[in-house]
Amino acid sequence: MFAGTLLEIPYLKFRRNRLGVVSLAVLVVLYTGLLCEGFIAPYSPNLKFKTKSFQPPHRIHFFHEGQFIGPFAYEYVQTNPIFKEYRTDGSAIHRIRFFTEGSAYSLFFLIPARVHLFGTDTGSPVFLFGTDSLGRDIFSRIVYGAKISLTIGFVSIFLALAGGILIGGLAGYAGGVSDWIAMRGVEIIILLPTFYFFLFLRSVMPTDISPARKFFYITAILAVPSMAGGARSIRNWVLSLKNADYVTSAVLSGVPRLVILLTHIIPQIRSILILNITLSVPGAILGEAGLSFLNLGITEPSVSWGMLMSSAMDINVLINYPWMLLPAAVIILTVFSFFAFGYALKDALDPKA
Amino acid sequence: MSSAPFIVVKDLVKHFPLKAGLFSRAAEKVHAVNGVSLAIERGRTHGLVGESGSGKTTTARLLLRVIEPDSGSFSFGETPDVFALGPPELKKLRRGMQYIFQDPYASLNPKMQIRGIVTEPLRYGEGSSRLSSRELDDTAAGLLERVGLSGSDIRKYPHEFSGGQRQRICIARALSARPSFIVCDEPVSSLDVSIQSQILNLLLDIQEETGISYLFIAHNLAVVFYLSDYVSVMYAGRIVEAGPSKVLSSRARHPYTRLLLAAMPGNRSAEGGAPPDSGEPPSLIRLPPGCAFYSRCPQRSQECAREVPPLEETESGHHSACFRER
Repeated sequence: MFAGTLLEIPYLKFRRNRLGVVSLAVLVVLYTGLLCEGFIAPYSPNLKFKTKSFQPPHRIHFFHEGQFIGPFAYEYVQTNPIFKEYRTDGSAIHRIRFFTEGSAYSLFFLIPARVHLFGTDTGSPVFLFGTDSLGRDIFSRIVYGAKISLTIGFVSIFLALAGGILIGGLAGYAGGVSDWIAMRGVEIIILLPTFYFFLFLRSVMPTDISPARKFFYITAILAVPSMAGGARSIRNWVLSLKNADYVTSAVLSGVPRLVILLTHIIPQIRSILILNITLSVPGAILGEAGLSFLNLGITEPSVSWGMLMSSAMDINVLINYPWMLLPAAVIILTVFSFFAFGYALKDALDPKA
Repeated sequence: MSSAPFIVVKDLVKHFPLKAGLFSRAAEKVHAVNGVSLAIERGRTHGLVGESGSGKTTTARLLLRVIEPDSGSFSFGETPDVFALGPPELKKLRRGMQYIFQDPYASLNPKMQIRGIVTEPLRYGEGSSRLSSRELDDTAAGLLERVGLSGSDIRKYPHEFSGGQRQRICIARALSARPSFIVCDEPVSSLDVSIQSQILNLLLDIQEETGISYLFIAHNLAVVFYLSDYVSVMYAGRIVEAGPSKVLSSRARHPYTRLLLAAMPGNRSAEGGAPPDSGEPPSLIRLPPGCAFYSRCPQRSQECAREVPPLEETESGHHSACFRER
């Protein structure tokens, strides 16, 4: 029998899957970025550069008149304030410097700091992803939006998991009428089209509430369908495991039901649960993006990726200022990474693969 | 017979209703256990043999109330009837009774450390005290050493052990609550023959030291005779013969017991060549009105088809349920 630890084989198998490793790296970068958002973003998400609205992304150059001078951007000068047209001023050079001083923020949400990852030597702003209608830096807004977009998925899935374990576990254990009622309720939720169900739940919730409460409400709404699915699969596992000999001996030893559920049944399905979480997070991220896109989710002054996309809803914006769609690329990257990582994890944990 | 034995089970009955279909109201039942009585003295072993489906395991599970009996009584030490107890009293009593399962691969939680497994009866259950992690370590190590494993194994997981070692862990777990009665449900039948005797000797050593009573279930007669003081033979949910193991192994009266004895390896010539057996046990849903062994019995008569033979004492301590062999 293999004498190594239980995780040694999955680890070796996972390492062989390149796509999985790359997606894990992407996710690590994204979540690290979330922690030091103020450091990575050069500007505050709501800082408006009055004369720079709908400015296209700055091109980063290295050579000025044939001479290498390191990364820099030319100044873009607004020529038409109505149609937001810009021309490049070839004489005004803003060199990009790393670790520059800028506006104050708190690193890791704790330590007050002023140093940003990058800035310019002249102090004139550089917009990697361009600006929106109010002249706010889209790159900074994406970095700050990660806080909501990337956590909402996890928080709602953990909420769903806790509820699923409780409902499914107890239904599977109790059986009889309570099981029947719980499962029919779960099936009704599963039958409803998910997104319309989100819309319905959102419509019964109060509108003028603080951003923090709004975040919590949206999280709870996103958790409901996954909770239903989770409750059903956990109930099935409880049914198949509750007659295992080790469960019987725990019952005979007087171990309380909830403890049996948590120490004897859930650990057997741990890898399945981890998998489900990884594969459900992107759904919740997309759900939040969808709601915010329709202005039913996160609203100003908070920032989320879905909300950023809602300003690209207009055909005029799409044609004239296509960089407004860049948040969508970040959402796609995140969702794709979660799925690729999830399937790599699935293969690694599957003893038969 | 001076005082009542430590454990007395009387007329235990369990019929499982077959699940009725949507439109059928027919309440058919599986007659798993049909009036089993047995007694166990303190510090002794009572063997229970029979083929698959004869109701051995059901009997054992009924005694621990894993499943609830239809009728019958079970006196255990000072407790007049275990079957009449409510949940709190039952919980208290269960510390005194432990169960060792047949399959050591299914009876240990694969995701739990040995330390947690063997001390579980101590940590929960009635009268459990909160033990520190240190105390749990020491207790677990002590229990493992008691059953012949190393005390340093407490942090390992079940998959790191062989079948025999796992069964030792099960025994350690059963011992942790200091029970006075252990039900061993075929504890060696899934083990390698070379390991079987080690486990049996371990069980005997423990009995000698602590005076535990065993109900020992097996389908292997040799194992049962080796371990038991007294043996009951079950067939189709009834006890057909019971007696001291020495008497039973030499002077079996019931044709079914003889059939079992003849089927033991190396016992072909016993009783001048036992009749070849081609029968099957009767359906437990529609039990025959007479003796359940009728269809396979070489000595059957008309009487046997009409009436169930009662379990009667033929000599001191030896009971047999057969009209022909009195």
